Amino acid sequence: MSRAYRIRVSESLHRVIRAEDHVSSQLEILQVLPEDAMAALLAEELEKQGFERNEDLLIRKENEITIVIDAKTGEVTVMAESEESLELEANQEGTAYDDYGPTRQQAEDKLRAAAREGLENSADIKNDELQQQVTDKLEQALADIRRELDQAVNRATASALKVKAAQLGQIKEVAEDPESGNMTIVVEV
Amino acid sequence: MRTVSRFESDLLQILQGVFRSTARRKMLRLIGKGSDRPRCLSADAVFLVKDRLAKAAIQSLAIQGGWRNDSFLRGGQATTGRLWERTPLAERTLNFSENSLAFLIFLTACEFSLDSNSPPFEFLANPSGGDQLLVFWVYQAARESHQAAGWRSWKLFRNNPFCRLMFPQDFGKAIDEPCGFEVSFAAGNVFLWEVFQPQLASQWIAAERAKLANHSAAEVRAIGESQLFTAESFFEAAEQAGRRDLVRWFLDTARVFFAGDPRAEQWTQHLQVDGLRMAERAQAYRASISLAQLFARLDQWQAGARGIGYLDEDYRAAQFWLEMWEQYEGDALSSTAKRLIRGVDPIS
Repeated sequence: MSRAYRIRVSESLHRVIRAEDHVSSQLEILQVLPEDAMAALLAEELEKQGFERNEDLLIRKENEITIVIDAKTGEVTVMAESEESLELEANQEGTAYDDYGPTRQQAEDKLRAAAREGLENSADIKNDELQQQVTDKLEQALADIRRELDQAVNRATASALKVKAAQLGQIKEVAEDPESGNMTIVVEV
Repeated sequence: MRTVSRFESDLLQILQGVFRSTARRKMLRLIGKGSDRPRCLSADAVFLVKDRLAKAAIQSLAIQGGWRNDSFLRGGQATTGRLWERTPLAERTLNFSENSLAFLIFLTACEFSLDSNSPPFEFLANPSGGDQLLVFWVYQAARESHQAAGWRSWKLFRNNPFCRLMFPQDFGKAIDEPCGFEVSFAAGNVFLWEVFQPQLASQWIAAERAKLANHSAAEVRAIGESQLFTAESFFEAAEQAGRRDLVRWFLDTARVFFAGDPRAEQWTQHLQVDGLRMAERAQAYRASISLAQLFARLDQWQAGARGIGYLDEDYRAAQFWLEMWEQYEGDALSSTAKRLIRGVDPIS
């Protein structure tokens, strides 16, 4: 008389998954003054926005978003990264017979393999989800970052224009319209 | 009357198919069919190959662009006329070496398919300008066939300057491999680039239209990056050789796509980017507007040419460039290029 064995296996997976995304661009900096002077003015404006100087680079990290700017070249890189610790478990059940089909050990091995494959698939899905979250986060952050950087560049340019004007003669009047961003400098030469 | 063997007849038909579209189907059937290679070709066969190649090459070059009454630089000076009017004979002499005959024998003898392990053809010695031209013509004639699909992995075609510049979209996997432009400029066959100006423009226009209709971000990226690498390599070689006039084909291409008020979305809105990281999307978008990216080098040339004075050595060449730039409304094209680049910038 054949005997049936009920087999239960349990597998677990512990993994740290990481996701990263980034974009790069170039700030359009009008060279009103020499490159070093423009870089210094831009760095000053960026520091007011919370950037920290690291040699030639200005860096700001906030909510898993890192912005790195080279004030000299104007190169900007915005990165988003995240990691998550996964603890997954899977159970598989099956039956083996002592006189027919695979042996008990074979059946158990097969169930373990299936459980591990299921865990790997689940981990991959989690990885893809994390990646999508990081990408979405980066995309959402870009609009605000764009505005901030434009403001910093505009203010640096305005400061540079004042310096340049002062080099040309005596500044009689400076009028700035914050809404339109227009600036008028009257210089007596 | 000349007598040739069956093998030699096949070889001559392949050669005929390279230059005549009516004989192309037969050519494609014969290429890769495989035949027993003879120990050597008969004198009659060699004579016929030389004769057919010489006549077909001249006719082909005349039709492709040699007949045009064009202006190009010669020794830093502008020269106008048809190819044979503006180019001394010594500078428009094509040499076909033993490599050409060996290549034709190979095409006739070898049985190859995409799955075969038959070794690719390699030149016996340094190829002449004529040898490289023949390889290009064969590739061009067979380009749509399954044989040519397999050829794209061969060095013979990947390092052929005419194949690379005429069809950069076919050699995306050869990116970063040398295109051989410097050699083609130094070999005294620079006149070929003059002849090919119209064909280069029409090929690049067709390729750009195909790219605009392509929705695959990965494919568009591969094509765009290959275009960028290949064209920049050509610009570099042209600059080194003092022949900036040879980028006219590019300005002809840009004029087609940058006329009016094009928006960057025309290149990017149909790309399937769902599921891609922003980094990958940005790469695909940048590659899609490869034509615009290429203006950076031309802007440098323009700025340089403006600064060359009447007493400077390159004055005439600079003036030639400035006139050409103005004729193509280069400032407007460049401005459009910058706008397109800003349009795909993820931050600006």
